[in-house]
Amino acid sequence: MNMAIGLEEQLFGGVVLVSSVDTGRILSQEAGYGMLVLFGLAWIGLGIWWGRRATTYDGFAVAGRNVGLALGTATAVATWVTSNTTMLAPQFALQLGLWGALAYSTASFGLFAFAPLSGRIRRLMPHGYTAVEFVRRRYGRLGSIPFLIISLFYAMTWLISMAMAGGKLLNALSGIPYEVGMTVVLVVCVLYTLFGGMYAVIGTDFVQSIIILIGLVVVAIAVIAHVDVADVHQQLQADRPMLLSILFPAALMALFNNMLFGFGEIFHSNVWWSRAFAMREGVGPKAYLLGGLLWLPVPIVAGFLGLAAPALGIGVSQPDTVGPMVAATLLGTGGALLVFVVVFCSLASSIDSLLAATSDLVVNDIAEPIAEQMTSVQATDATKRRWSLFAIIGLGVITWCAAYPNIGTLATVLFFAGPMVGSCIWPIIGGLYFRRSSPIAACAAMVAGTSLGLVAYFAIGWFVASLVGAAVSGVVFLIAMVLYPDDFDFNLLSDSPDAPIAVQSEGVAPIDPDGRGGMVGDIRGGGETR
Amino acid sequence: MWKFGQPSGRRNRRGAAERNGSAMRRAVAAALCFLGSFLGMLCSLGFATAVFSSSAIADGPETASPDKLSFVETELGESREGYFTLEWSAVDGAVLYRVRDDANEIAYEGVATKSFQSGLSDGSYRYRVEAIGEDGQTIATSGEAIATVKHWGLAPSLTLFAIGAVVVAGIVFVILRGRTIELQQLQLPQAAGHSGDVSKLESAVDPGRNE
Repeated sequence: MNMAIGLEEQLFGGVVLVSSVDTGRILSQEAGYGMLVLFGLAWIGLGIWWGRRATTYDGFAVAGRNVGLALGTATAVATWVTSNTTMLAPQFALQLGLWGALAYSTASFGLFAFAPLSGRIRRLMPHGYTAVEFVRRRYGRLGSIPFLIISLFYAMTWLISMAMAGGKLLNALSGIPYEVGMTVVLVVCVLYTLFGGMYAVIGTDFVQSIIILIGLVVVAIAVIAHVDVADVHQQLQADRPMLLSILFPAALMALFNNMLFGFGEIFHSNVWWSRAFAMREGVGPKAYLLGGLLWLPVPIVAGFLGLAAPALGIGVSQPDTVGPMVAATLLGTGGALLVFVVVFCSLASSIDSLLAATSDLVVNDIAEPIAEQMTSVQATDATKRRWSLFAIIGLGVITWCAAYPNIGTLATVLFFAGPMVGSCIWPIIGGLYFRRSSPIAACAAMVAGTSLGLVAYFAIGWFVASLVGAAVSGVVFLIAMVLYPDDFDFNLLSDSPDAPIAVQSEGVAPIDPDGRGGMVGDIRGGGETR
Repeated sequence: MWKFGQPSGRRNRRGAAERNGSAMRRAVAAALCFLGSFLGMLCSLGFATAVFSSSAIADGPETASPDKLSFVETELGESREGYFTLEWSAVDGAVLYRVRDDANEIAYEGVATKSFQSGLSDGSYRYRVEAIGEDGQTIATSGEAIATVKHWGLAPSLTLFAIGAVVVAGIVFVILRGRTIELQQLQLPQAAGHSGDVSKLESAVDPGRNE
């Protein structure tokens, strides 16, 4: 999960530059380079191997829409385990105690909630490519412009922060210079995404998810073998009592805030939508559900590392480094290697997903509409395939240029994403399930939710920003939907240049056409049209 | 501007130009790919060079300063979340720093010049830091740093907790109800099939099946 809810510059993207033996350099530089070369070449090789099937744009962008359950589950897990998961989850526990560890693990609820949505998305838009495409067809420009801005902001800041985190993490773990580590991680991901598109991304995600889960199981066993839970409890009770308190005010506020952040991240991001489009019909719900179940214990294990640090006598100078420190302390050199590999896999699995999903946004939601408007001719499959290559290279270059100066303050920009993504939740689920959801409602919800969420961010703190954004957005969305209802025909979403619109299909029928319950639009013909 | 599908007549006339343009674009793409590969190879294989050029970013203790040991901030203000970071100046000859609280208990021991404290209850906390030399002796001691913890009130916290619960419950309700109704809708054509309503089944084209 990319829980961008740090506090200061130091919380940027997972870990900051550290300068002491207790916070970094758990591996020699030579070993770090060896691992980097080994895994870098492996990912590129596997990417090229898997990507040989990506001969069409559909193959390149959505893996031929034929991804099965095993690969679908693996890609959900690998993408959601970012470097932040392994770094920020322990930090959360160290800052907000048991509630903090629990709060981070609630990000899996986002995957659970997206499971049914993915099935509906796949049925409504059998030829779709992006989340923005859905919003554009569902809400028109009024809804799609703020949504596109939020999507690109989130995707680019996440991408840049992951690249920067890569450089900083590799430096912190093994002393590899920031510029070298950042460049290698980025170039490796760009290359294999470039060659293989979504085939390569999902294929490497499969291997990466297995490595990550094995690494975390080993760490969990080591923790159970070396740390006495009673000692941890006793130490915390004596020195850090609030970490065990049920009535820890900031932690109470953070719980649902984090859950809503996770909902917002998954519901709006094209990283998740592109996977929903890529999976075979009927696979998405199962894959996201299983992915959530597999992801759930990850932050709990990682969070326990944070809580165990005081009992192990580890002096913490910076909270985001506590996870690797504890793992390395418990497992020695083997643990250090394991941490390095897990971190590298976490970074790669997120960066490749972002490159692929954001290039889809650039091609389908920026280049194609503009080109169509200018030439009135639809882009061919080969043209879009070519644009994707340029988009991926362009995204890589932009990311590298933004990440190279290593500007710490850039990190704080990412933290604004919380209220932004929180404000997208209701327009998305309303757009998928309510005929009445209107462009005005969606636009007003995103603008009001983002604005007041940012106010809450500055007035109270990061731990309420997403919550306020989602709550305000929900209220505004419902009021505007009542005042300015639409009467949307969901069949319009299945429109595709390659396939005629179905007049009436079993999968795209508007829910509740008979007006059962107040949750769906039941005023067919009586509502405002777009 | 990239090319799109053109009418066939124009395509013939512009075929050569398109092929040239296409070749040019392929060349640019290949060049960029090559550049990327080159960068990757350079970074991966050039580690020997980087070993020598790597800065001492994380080499042991912080850069020492001849100044006496002191906290960067002695008044840390009020923390509403129960955590804060103490930071102090580095001292020549120090191999270790030890932070003690007002009960003289060790709150941090390590080579960094920062210490993260968390999980504290409401109250005022005083710290001082000692610099330890190679022989294990204390070579410098700082003055006090004072931090105050005053947590957010329970009433606003529980209110926001409740609001969050309501919002999440609303989202889950909409999704579950939507899913339930959707499943009912999907089962309708199947039921019609079992009852022999062939004409209805034939009209129910599922655009989701594109395999």
